Amino acid sequence: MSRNEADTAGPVVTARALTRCYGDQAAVSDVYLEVAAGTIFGFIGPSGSGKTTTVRLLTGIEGPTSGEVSVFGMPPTSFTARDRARIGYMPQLSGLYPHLSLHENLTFVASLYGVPLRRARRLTKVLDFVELTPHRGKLLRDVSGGMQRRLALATTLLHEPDLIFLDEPTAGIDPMLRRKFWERFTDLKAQGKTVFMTTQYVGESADCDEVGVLVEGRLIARDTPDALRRTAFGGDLVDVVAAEALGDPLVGRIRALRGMLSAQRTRTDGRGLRLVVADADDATAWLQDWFDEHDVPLVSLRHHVPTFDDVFVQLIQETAR
Amino acid sequence: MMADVARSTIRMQAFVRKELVEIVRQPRLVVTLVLGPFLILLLFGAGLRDEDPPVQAAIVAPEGGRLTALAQRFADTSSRRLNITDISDDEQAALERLRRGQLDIVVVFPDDPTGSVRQGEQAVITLYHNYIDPIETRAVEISTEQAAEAINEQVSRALVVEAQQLATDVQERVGSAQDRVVAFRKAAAAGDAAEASAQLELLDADLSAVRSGLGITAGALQRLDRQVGTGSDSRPAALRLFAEATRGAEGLANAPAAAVAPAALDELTADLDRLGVAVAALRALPADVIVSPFAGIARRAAGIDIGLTGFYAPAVVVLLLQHLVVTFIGLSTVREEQLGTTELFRVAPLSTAELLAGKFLAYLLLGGGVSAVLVLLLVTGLGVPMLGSWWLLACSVVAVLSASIAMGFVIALLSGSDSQAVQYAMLALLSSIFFSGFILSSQRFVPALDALAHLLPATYGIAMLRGEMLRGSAAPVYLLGILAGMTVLLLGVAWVLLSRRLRRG
Repeated sequence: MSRNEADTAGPVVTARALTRCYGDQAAVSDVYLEVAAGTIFGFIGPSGSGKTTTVRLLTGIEGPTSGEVSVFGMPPTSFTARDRARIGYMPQLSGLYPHLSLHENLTFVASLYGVPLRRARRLTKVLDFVELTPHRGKLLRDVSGGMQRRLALATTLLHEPDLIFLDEPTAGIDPMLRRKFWERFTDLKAQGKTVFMTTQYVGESADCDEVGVLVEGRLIARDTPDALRRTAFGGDLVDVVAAEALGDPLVGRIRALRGMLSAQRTRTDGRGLRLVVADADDATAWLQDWFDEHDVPLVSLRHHVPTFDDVFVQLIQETAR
Repeated sequence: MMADVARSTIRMQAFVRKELVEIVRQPRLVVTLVLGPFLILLLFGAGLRDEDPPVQAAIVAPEGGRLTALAQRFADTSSRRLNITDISDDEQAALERLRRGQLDIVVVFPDDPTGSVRQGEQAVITLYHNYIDPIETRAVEISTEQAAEAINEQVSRALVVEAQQLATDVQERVGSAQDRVVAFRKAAAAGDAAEASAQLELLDADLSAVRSGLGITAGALQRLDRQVGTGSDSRPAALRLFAEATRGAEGLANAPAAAVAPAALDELTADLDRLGVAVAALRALPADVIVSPFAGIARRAAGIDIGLTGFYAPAVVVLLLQHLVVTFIGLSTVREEQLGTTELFRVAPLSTAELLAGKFLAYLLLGGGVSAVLVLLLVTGLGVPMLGSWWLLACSVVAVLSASIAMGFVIALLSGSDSQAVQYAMLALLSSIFFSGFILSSQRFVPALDALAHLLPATYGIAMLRGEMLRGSAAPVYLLGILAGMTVLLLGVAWVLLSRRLRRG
């Protein structure tokens, strides 16, 4: 079995009880992770929650205080040069040189990864991807922050790594280009590459295969986006708006329905309810029937999909409680 | 294996290219680096006056008498630097002007030099000055000593001139004495006793005149003999001759003519001949030669004239190269830490050796290029001599650059910020200016500081480049060896420090 085959057989990234302390302060505490090959793993959390520290632990820049971390089946701190060439890393600070042109910066990083000198086509392709080809001759210091982030992403991808760590790759990038980035991430995933990214745009979590939520160094949730939504609110959400105010007895009967997890008023005129159910698709059908049977005219009844901002806030609030 | 080597080479060339491009992207920096030192040396050479700046001086000497003339002579014989503004007998007034800064020096002649000399002591000419620059102070002291020596020579010269004038009379008397001897011989041979006795008396009178005149003349001859003579007899030749001449004549005047032995006459004739020759020689010699028979002329072995610009130019090149690479490596390394590039290096498949080697080559090329341009500008533009081999000069430059680059790595890796890197580089530059032989030879320092000087690549570089450019001598192999050893050692330290910085985990 080849090394790559061995990698794809299990998770590409594994962390068990991963802890990193600076003095008495734990930046990352008791984190368990598994990232499957060919997936996009999103790491979200408030500023200072330990996302970057986790990435540094996974790339081997730092070693854990305790616990274990394994990438490609081995501790990152014992990577060989060949192992490192399989990793792409985009730090928050681009680390590129202001006095070099965009193309020169790209060439420099390509050389760092030992990309053969016949690489013009590859460089052009990656510059096209981040839409920087017209600006390739400009000095890095003369382009906008967003363009610098795009170049940093290009330098991360040009050696075609198997595992890509992106620390807030879309920060400062306009929504159009951010969408293009995500298309590229999806392409990479389709090629069997693994993407591990942190983001400050919580909404981007929806596009990940799996999401981890980190708060104060602790991983409070790790699941698929849909599962996280359900975890945050205890089930699917269904919003109901009636034509007339709903009386307390009626609301009490709704709460007592089989399959109803909870119900809360949402409008001051008494016409609105947010219902938490096990399965929204199934519940909307029988709820419509129930309201019809009880002559309660409805303005709307629909499955509410909360934004990930809401999910994130809910999860953090739940943790705080 | 071959693929690994190829990838390693690609990584190293990336650093070479990156470092050079980054520097070239700052044209003003490059121009300042290359043309700056050249222009400074150009201004230094063009603006430096050949003669020393004038020194405003006053002389204090007792009113009237010979001392005033002596003071005037001192003024005349002093170097052209001295601008004697006043000769007076008011010492306090002159010293007050010195304190006010109106004068640079005040020369005070002794009140009674003759009395001092009679007591067997030198008459001291005192010089008061207001300099704080030790080099200027030493220069004035040397000028004063030279002027005092010149006065002494003038006094001696006056004596010698006087002696030469008396020597004319002595020489005539010697000739007369020789004639008397001939006349005596003739009279004695003819049996004319009366004539013989008369000639002996005349001979005695001539010898007495020689005796009295020879006192001063012998003194001058004695001086000449003492200064240049090599005879084994401790007595001066002139006195010896005089003694011999008079001894030969003793008793002749009172002796009967028949009693005068022919051998004694032969001896007297020979002595007088030699005395005549010696006195003639004294007359023939210029007084200056007798007083100062030796004159010093310094000629450079290389046979060329080296001005201050030429002397300092090789050292400037070395200091510039050392400072250039130390500063640039320091800034480059600290900047990479601040930009976060070091983090990229820690994740990338980059080894410490590849990073060090890439940067080392980059700065070797940069320093080599700068030194080539600078040396060519100095040689062709400022006329700085280049007497040695260009190839050996290149070897020395490479050796100095290598050690400086290695030192730059260590300084850079010990620096926590760019300002700290610049400060360390400045400390290295200042140490080099003071201790490396740029201003003063390192041999002038106590052993501890001399050892410190030899920790700096510039110390070896200045010695090698001055030797190759100004003397045409090849750098000693051991110096190249020391620089190579220093390079290896410092690179080893840098490797350890950089490995710690890049250490994963």
